[in-house]
Amino acid sequence: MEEFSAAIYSTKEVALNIYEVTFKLSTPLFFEPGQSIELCLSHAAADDKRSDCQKLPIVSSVDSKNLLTVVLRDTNSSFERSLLDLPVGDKVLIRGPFGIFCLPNKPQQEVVFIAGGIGIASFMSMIQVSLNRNIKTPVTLLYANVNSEQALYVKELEEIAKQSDAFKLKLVSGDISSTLIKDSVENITDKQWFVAGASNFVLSVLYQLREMGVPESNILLEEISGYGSVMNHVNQRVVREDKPKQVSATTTVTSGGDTSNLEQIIADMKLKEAELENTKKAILNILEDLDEEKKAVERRVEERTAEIKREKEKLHQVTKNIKNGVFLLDSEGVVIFVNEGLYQLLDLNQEEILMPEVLEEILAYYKDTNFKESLTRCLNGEVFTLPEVETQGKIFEIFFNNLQVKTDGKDDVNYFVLITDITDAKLLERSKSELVAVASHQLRTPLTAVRGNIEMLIDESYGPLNEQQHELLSDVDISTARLIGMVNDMLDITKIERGNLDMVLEYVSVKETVDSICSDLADYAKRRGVVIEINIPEGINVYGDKSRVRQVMQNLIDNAIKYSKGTGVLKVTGNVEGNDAKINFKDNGQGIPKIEQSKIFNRFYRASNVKNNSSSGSGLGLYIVKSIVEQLHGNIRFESEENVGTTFFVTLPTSEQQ
Amino acid sequence: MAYQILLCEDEEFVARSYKRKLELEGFIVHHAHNGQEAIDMIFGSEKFDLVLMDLMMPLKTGFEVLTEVVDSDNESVKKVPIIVASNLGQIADIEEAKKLGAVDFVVKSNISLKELVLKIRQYLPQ
Repeated sequence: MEEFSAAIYSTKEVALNIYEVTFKLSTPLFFEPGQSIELCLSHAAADDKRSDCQKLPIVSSVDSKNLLTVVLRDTNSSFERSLLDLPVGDKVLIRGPFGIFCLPNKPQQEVVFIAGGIGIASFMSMIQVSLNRNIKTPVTLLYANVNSEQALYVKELEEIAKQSDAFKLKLVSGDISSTLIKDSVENITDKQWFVAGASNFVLSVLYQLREMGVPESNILLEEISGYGSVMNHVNQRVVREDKPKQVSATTTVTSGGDTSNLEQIIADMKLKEAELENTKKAILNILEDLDEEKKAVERRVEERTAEIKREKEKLHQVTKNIKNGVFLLDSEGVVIFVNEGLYQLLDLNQEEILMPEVLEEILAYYKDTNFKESLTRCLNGEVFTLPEVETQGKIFEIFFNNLQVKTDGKDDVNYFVLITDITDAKLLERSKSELVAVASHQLRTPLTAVRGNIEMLIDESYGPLNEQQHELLSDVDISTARLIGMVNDMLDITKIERGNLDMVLEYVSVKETVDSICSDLADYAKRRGVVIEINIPEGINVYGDKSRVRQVMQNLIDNAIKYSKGTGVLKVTGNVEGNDAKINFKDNGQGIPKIEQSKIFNRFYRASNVKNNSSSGSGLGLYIVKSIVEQLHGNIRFESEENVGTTFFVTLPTSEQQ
Repeated sequence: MAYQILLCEDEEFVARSYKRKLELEGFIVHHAHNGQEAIDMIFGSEKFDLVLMDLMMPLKTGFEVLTEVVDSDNESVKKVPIIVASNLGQIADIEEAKKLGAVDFVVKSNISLKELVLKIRQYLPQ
């Protein structure tokens, strides 16, 4: 490594923290902007502490006064501080420029120096050093692409060659092609080759020399980069690929002989180039993929966001437009959702009452009801409905529920209250019931007179009747009884709907009840050709309302007679099992069509086979029977086959329910 | 001696039907057309063996008549059995009537004249 001493000439801050430092070289050297030197502080040089050396780019050519200017950015490192603090005249050491510094001292082996552009500066330095050392090696310079400034070096070199016979200099200018090389140099393979210039230039020359069979050991390279703005390079801190590809000029030159080395380098370079290209492609592919992936993810996020937005809006519109009031409480009992319907339902001002206070308002609204207690029950986990909450002139149905909400695997309980204004429906229902009750009651009065008068005529209180008169009056009597039955059914329905099917509970003898009914219906049964067989032990009592129990049995017996097939047998049997009395009514009448069996307890439902016959009926009987039996805590079912018969199984409790 | 029955019934056709039946049974039937008339007759000079009374009547309801009888100091009047015959048939009506001293309650449309006469005879003094 060549070292030259130099002295601080001047230091100047040219921009913020950027300094130009000028040295006076002890030896005239030819450096060019774009090259760099390593500068070592003299006090450190003795110990050869690399930390006190730093590479710095050159910003001006060495002029006639042997002044060299470098640039550095002050990052406040100890080197920079020491350098900038050095007084003018202090000595420093300079190494470089890196690359080829000196001609080999082998006069018998000619040197060919091929320079491209800035490479000529390296050549100039080499000549200077070689002259100083009195080395006389014949050298041929082939140069290309020199600009006007660099052309001055050429002129100076010609001067040097003229004045000094120390070495033989031959200058050839032009594009460096193998033709030019072959035309300019004889015995190519024996020569020592130096190549200096930009990387691509060096590489291209290297290929050509290799093609021409120059052994690798005979070639020294110096790649110089760093054209363009020096200041930019300073900022990038990359000014030059300082080292030649081979370790150093001297060692390489003396090592000699190993031709595989160059091929190896070329192969390595090619390999590296290919690798780099592949890596570049791979990276580009990855980047492209990443970009695609990113776009896809963004698209999915956008789609999902839009979807959630749509769902949210839908839900909002639904909860906004439903007439019901809905609110949600979290597990702490804090309101977390209220729909607009609730505000409207309770006449609350949505603008004024915000969610946290809305519960207070709801409780205030329902203060005269058991709403608050119900909410507490709900928060304790009960699910139930208050069917009729009446307050503020309105009637509400309120449903209390809890919702298990699963989010991110976390179980959360929300409490859900649904309030429905049923005022209109309830009032309508009530007025309907009222109407039916009044109408039914009013119907009963004239029917009383009709019934009484027919009875007196039929029992011949006012004189004997002939057969026809008796028959006609009997028909009127039966029709009147039916009419009264229907009126009673309608009143019962009204009571069932209102939930006030009133009952006085007591122990009712099954046998006495059945006997009494059969006695009343004896004439009717006889006319219909139905024989009633009763097999009920004495002492079976059911616990129920006497008239309602009678109503149930009468209805079933009446049906059996009414829907007989002209003649028939009705067997009424009874027994006790545990706390239940089982009373069965088995007929061999018309039966109920299979497909209609599920409907016969429905209101106003009449089986098609009996509807088509002339027998009258409201279709209310079995509905009322079932309602009564259930209210008495019993149950009723049946088995039936069309044209074979029907059996009704009635179970009623024998004692008061616990 | 024939029994004296007071029939309190505002509905003309029902009243006539009942009157006929009761007379056929040999009773002497007196007829009050409304609640007020019923009060006047119950507390009047005529003595009755039984009162058969509707509930929904003009001027005074059957409940009001029952109340006045129950609240009166006239022990002989209070002894007269009163059977309510109405087309109201709710348990509440029946219980109310019985609480006010009615001896029985029949739903007119649901009872035959024969059954009605049996009921009346049940409460007549032997």
